[in-house]
Amino acid sequence: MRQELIQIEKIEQFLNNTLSVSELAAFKIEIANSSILLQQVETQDLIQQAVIRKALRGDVVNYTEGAAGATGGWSLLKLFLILGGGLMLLGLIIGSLFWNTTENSSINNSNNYQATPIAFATNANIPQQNFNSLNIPQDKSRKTENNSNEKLKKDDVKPTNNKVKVITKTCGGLNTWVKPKTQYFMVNPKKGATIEGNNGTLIIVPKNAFVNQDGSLVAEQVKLELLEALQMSEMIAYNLVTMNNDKPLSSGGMIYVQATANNIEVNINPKAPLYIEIPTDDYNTNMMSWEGKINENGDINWENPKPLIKYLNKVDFANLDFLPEGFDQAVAAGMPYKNHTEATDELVDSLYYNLGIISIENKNYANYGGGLLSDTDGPKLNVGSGYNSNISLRFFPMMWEMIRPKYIHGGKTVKGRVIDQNRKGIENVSISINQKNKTNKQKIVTDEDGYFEYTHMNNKSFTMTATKRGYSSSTGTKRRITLQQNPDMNPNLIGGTMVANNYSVDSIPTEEILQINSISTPTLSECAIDPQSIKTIIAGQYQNTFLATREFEERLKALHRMPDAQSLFEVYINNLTEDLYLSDQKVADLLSDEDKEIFLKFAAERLTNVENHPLYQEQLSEYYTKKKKEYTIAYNKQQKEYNKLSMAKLKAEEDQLNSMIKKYKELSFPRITTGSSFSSVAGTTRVSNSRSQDRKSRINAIAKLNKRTKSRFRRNIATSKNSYKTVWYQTGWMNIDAYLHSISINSEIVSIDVSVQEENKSKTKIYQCLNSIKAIIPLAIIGKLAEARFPNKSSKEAKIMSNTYCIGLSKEDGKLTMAYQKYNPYDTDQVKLTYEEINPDSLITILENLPGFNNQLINNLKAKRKFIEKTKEINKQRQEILKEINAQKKENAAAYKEIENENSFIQSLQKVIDRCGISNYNIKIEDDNLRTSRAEYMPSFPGCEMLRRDQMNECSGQKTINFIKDNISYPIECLDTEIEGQVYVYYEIGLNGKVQNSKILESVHPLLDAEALRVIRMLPDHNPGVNRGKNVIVMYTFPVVFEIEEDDKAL
Amino acid sequence: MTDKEILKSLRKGKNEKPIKQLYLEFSKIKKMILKNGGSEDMAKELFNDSLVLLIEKVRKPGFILTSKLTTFLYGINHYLMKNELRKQKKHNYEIEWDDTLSLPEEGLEYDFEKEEKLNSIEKTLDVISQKCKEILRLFYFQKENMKTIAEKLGFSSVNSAKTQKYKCIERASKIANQLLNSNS
Repeated sequence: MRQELIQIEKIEQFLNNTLSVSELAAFKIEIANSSILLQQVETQDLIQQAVIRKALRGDVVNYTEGAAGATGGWSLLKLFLILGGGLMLLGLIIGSLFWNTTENSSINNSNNYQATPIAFATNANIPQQNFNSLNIPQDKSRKTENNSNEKLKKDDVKPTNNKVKVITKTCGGLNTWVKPKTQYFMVNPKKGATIEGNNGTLIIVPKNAFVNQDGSLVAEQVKLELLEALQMSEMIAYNLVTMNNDKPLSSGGMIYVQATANNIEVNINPKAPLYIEIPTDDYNTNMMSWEGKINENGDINWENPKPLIKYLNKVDFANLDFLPEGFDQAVAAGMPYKNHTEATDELVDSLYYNLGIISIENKNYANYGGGLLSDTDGPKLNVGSGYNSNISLRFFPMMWEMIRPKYIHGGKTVKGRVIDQNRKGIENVSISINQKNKTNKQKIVTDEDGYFEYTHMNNKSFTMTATKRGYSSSTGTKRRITLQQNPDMNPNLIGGTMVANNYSVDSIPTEEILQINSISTPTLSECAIDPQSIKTIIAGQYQNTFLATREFEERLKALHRMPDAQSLFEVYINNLTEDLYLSDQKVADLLSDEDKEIFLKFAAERLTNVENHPLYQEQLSEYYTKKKKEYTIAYNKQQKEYNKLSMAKLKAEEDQLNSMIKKYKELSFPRITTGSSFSSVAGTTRVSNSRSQDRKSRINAIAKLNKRTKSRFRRNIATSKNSYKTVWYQTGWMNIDAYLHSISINSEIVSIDVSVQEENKSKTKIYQCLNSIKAIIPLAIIGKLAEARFPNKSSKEAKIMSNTYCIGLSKEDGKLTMAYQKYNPYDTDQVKLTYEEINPDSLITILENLPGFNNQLINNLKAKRKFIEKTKEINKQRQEILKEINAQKKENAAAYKEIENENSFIQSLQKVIDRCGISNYNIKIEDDNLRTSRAEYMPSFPGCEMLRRDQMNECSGQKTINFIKDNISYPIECLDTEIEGQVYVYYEIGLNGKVQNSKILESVHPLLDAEALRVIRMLPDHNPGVNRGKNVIVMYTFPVVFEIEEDDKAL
Repeated sequence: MTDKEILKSLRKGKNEKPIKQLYLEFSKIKKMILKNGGSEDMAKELFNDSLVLLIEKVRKPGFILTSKLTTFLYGINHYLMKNELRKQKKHNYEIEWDDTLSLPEEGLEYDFEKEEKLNSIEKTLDVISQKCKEILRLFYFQKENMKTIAEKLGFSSVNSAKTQKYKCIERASKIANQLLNSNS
């Protein structure tokens, strides 16, 4: 045995009287000469006794029924009592910063979504159709489809009775210049399907959407055929003019839908019609849905207009983005922040929703005294009747309930909870305990559920005052919401009787009200929307209101930028049952200038309110959930890519994009001039080789460019691009169109030399294409001329006409020739067309790439450039913040560095929200799992690690207190001047158990601050906290109380 | 059980029956504590403490019972209650107590300082390992010899059990010293 153990053995023998006489005598002498030994003997004696006592206590508790538990805490509490001396230190360990990240709702992959596209008519592998003449119906196309896809071969025509209609015409018999790029989807009619076309058309097929000709439900698989013609290029190529008899229309996109089962046409069930959304970048409120009728010449005419759906679709709040624009950027610019390196959605949300404006307005406070206590049914907005009524969203009414006042040795323990009007706990409320003639005696802080526990160690009466710190919006100063309660005033507490029932305090002392009333708050002064209001919405019962729509999301984005946004926001909140456009109008009335315009525009959309589409709701929300996820992933990926780049590389990338845009403009189909290069007229073709080569390479280059910039964000639901919505009861052609009145009346006429020879007239068509409004008007050919009409030069609409094309297409012997001319009718009155043979495959591509004809490519490039600009902006902001921090860091003492760092970050966030810069925010940061205030296994003070979990925490807390008490020294300067107070120190126990990031949260005096910090930094290495087997950083807030005892003061 | 049987049983470390019997007195004692301004919790705690003190006393060699055991128990409770009130500095206490047997403090050998120390050391015993606790309990409380302990706890030899025991004491005293020093 080691020497030390031998010594212990000897002491044991001594204590148990088993030493021999001589040994005993020798040992007694030894003890007398060594104080260390004496102490060891005493300790060992105590240990022996303690072992016995512990065992005895165990027996006593075991054998006396129901007595268990009562003995748990008090022996430790006694320890508090015997501390003391010249100064008294009491500490609390408070987990103050706790954030429980809510997980994103996972995406539900339902079978419903999987409508399988089964075939595409691609250009390369399919035998070319022969367009012999425009007047010949193309009845060969179906065969082509069948050849192109083996699956379809199985679906042979099986007429079941004589009435069935067998499909013989493609696209309803429409004559098209090129083969349509039809998409096919197989749908199980019993399950329904959600279909998204290549260009973004959304079709929701509800259950049982198809009926046979005799009206019975279709049981077999249905083949759904979809042709999208959303762009001008496609409309021209498919000969889709925008005419209602002789009235021109402006199109928002056309589609063709056909459904067949076993190649027999089926109808749409009038009880379960299809729901169709067509995406648009440029919402036109006058749009209607039209049915396409094909005449005997294979041309289309649009008839039977019906209004579009104007009511709103509900979207899950999780799929809506209510944060102000630029907020995520500001967060990204602040990275790395604490241990975050990336601005994840969770972090962005967390930061935003924890910026809260705390303010109390007189009216609200009156509400508080009134009846809020009775409102206990969960989150609820106090929505007033009129616009000017205030809603009580912005403050925390506090009350508290005592849960378990308990008498313990030498004092009493008060357990309680601070709650709001919804009986939800309010976290981080400081409760100060005031004894007569003494203030700031002790402070406790509620945990995240509002709970607190306080042990009062003497018999003097005391008052508890709960304080939630906030800022006054008007004065910019710190102010408090205060609630007072004197537990001694409650007879239940006197004598320490247990109170079985909870009780709550439902009145406030009058002087408190007076104090609050004395702060004058101008009405409706807040500039920004309080994030807490938005948090309330998305947490509450508003899923069935227009708040849960993409349309409101769009409005909220705009509201964030408005002055006095909160009150405007409340206009919407207060009128949830009315139509959305009425609120739009009200808001517009309160605004002026450009801001007013924005909301007038919203009002002009005349959107009504949410309506239930039980038929589509499930599929719609599923679709948007999926889309949101796809979009977010793509977006983040893109953003991440750019974030990796240095400023120089970003600049290079941007330059490249700019040159691409420029190149694109140069690359466009060359302007054909008269002369030798003009090689053909309709019907006869002689294209020079070099020219053909040249064009081919250009087309290739364009295709390449297009591929590179292919947009991943076609349907960006996060920013709520509008779409045209309609419910469709029949198959066939559908068009979203509006009348184009400006051309019909007061028009000017421009003659166009279309260069068509008499014999080709019937095979040639001339279109007047108004690109900016998507109108295609066929022109009658008289002689060699065609006449196009334009609005009067002086009229408002004239401007949009400057980008007009005249396009001629002709087809003979399978050869397609095309001519086009861009012209400004107000500059020239003569336009001449010249024809060239083109490959039918490239018609759409050529059309797409006419300058100014299709903006998609340019838009894609621009979107990409926007990304780069955003990234650059983030980098710039970050540099600025860094500069600011560095400047501040130099000025401030070491301890303040981190705080400033965080503050400037928070301030940068506030700037984004609050453009007027007049509001003050309560700054509170929450963090993720790695940094927590509640670890499964809290860090333990060395020596406490062997204990059970609950005892360990107690032990660590006690040891920390003792450690601080032992090591602290009251700065003499402060003793002399009698400076007392409570210094709040924040520190973390890091992954390695070391104290880190210690700083002052609440300062009293620089000397006291420094002393508190000094001691905290001396704390020995802990055993790190563990969460799910992983070391975590645990945050602590420790109030170090500096207090001079009365006796010392007298000296 | 007679008082004699109770004492005998307690000295042997067989506590269950005696404690259960003495617990019958609790309701009366509780009433008195409540009457004097105590709480239910306090009554429970005081009573448990009194039982611990009583058993400790009884186990001490040379203890002689000079009254009825229940009277002795009442006396301890009376004393603890007074103590409690003194702590709260209610100096002008006047305790109403039936069945009075006021024990002089010396008779109870109640040493404040020692009690506080014992309390904190009791706490530190939680820190040491389960095996340590068991060894110490068996040896000091159950008064088992080291051979039995070695067998019970599966030590290879009596010597290794002994070494382990001393290691446990070493560890406990280290912690205890830290605690006591930091408090003094």
